Amino acid sequence: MSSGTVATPIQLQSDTASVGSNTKARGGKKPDVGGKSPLWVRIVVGLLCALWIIPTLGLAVTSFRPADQANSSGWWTIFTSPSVTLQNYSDVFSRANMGEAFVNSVAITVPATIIPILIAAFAAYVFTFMQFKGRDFLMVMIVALLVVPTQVALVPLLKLYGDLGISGTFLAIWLAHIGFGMPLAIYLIRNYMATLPKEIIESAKIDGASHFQTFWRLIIPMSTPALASFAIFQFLWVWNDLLAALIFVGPGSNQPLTIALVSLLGNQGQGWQLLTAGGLFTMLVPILVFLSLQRYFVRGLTAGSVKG
Amino acid sequence: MATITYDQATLQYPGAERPSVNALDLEIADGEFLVLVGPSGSGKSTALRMIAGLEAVTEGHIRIGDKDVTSLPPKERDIAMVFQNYALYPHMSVADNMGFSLKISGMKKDEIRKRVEEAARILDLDAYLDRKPKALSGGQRQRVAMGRAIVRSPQAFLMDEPLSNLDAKLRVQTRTEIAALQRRLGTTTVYVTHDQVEAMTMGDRVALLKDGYLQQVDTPRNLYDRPDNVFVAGFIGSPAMNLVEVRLDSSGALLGQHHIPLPTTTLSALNGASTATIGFRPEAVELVGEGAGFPFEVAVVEELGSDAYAYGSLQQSGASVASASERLLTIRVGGRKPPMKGEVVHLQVSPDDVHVFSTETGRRVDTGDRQRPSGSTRV
Repeated sequence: MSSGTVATPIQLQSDTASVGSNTKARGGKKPDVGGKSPLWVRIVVGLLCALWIIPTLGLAVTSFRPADQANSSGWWTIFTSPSVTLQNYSDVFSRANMGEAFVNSVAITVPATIIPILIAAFAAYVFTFMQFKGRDFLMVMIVALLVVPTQVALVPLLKLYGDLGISGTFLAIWLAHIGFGMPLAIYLIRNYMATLPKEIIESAKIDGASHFQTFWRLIIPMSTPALASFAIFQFLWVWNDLLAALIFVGPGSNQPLTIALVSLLGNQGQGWQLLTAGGLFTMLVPILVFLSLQRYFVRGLTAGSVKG
Repeated sequence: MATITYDQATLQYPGAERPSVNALDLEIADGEFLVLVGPSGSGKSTALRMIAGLEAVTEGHIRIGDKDVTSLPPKERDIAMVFQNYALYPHMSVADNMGFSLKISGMKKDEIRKRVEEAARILDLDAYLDRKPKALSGGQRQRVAMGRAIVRSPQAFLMDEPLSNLDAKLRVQTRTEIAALQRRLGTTTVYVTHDQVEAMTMGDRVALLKDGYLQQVDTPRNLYDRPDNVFVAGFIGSPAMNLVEVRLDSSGALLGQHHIPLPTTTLSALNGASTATIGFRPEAVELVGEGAGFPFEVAVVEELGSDAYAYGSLQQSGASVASASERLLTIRVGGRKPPMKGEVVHLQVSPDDVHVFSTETGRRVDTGDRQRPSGSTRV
């Protein structure tokens, strides 16, 4: 149109950048993805945390206080008149045989956690990736088992164990926990596996992997978040379980920590300060388990597998 | 390396009303690059998955080489597949991803390493062998997926839209790389895409599917020059061929007031029908001076630099053009002096470049001007 065409000014990289940041600065409020949450959210979360932590803190403090003080004043008085003792701990270990109970608890909990996960992972793979008649019906049955209360199985199981002669053994309590944990384990792990891209399975098929190889080399490593979260749940349930332990093991040389703890308490509730020491000791393992497994709770373990 | 044969291969999903792939008869030569192309739901991916063994063939047979693989599981078919979303194993390094199938087959570690490194060199992945897929860019992941296929030196490569997840520029570049790689390795390849440009540029031959039926299979050139039916004519070519339904008279077709003479062989082949569909490509049009050709009113001009495409409609003083008013026609004009919006230009279409299709069946009516090349199939 006009005679002299004006050359478009060339924008250098640095120009563009500064223009960009200017607009941002002028824009003022911008949505801060993954940044700080509002103040009230942090206050509420802080209150909730305190609410949960204070009783535990009280338990911890009490376990280090002498029995007569624990009986006469609240645990918070330790801050005004500090007096600390390890008497409770030595009492617990000498009187209640906590060491043996601890070993029993581990012996019960570890197999009762690992075995159901293994079996449930197999089952979940089958329910997710293999076609067979009655698959959906079986899955519905398993989900339906989730609503059946554990208590209905107690008496029949006890009779069965009596007939088999395994009452009071580790095997009895393992089987009980494996059975009780299985429906939820299958359900959780299957739901997770169903979210894995099906092309990976197809790719494995074409690569010549058998079902077992696909399961073991691909599906299990990719399912660790689901396996780890179920492992934590199951571990905590079994570790903290008193009901099944009382019924299927009972007090004696096979008793786990939970039963040992209860036996610390006298009929009139005397010796409860020992309970605090024992309780704190019992808590250590679940905390360790949680801390060691929590890194598997990262999202996006399948990152990079499919389109990105 | 081997031929792949579909022999009346049919696949109908349980509960589906019609087969996804219907009596497909197709032979893919040894070392050929065949592209299966078609719109969504045309059955092209299903046809590919039938070769892979990921879908069970309901009728007919599939052969790889001389072996009938119809009922064999995927691992016994000796094929490799590249998936649209790559399907890499996220917890394994690039080298382990590529070597997985070899490891499964029980190959020795140093032999696996050797073959993986060789494939990585071909694909320019040497530097990334120890990385996990999530630390790679889209293009690199795509190459890992390719690498996983080539380390096995299989009988055939099957590729299911392997470029759809790349950005436009990378897609064009990778397109050429894959085609070059295939020529170099000489492995029979079946490639699925919905992009007709990919199909035309990569394939030795292109098979066009629609609704589970094979429409035409031929070289890209023949598909373009001699489409067998209206669908093929409209699908192949970008921008698409102009297809107009016209009235016929004793010596040709009437487009507006303009008379397009048609060969007598064509007219007799049309068997006295009163209408036909004629097609002409955007580039088959010449601009002529006023008074000659059809007047064409330009509605939109797209400038591409070397060329420009003008979209518009035929100016009609009579109601003789049936459907031209509903759909814009496309013409290619020189990129230097394109017509302006709203301008009326005059077009001439060379009779040699006119494709005639029966209105009734949609099939091509042979104008008899060119020899039908061998090797093409007609449905």
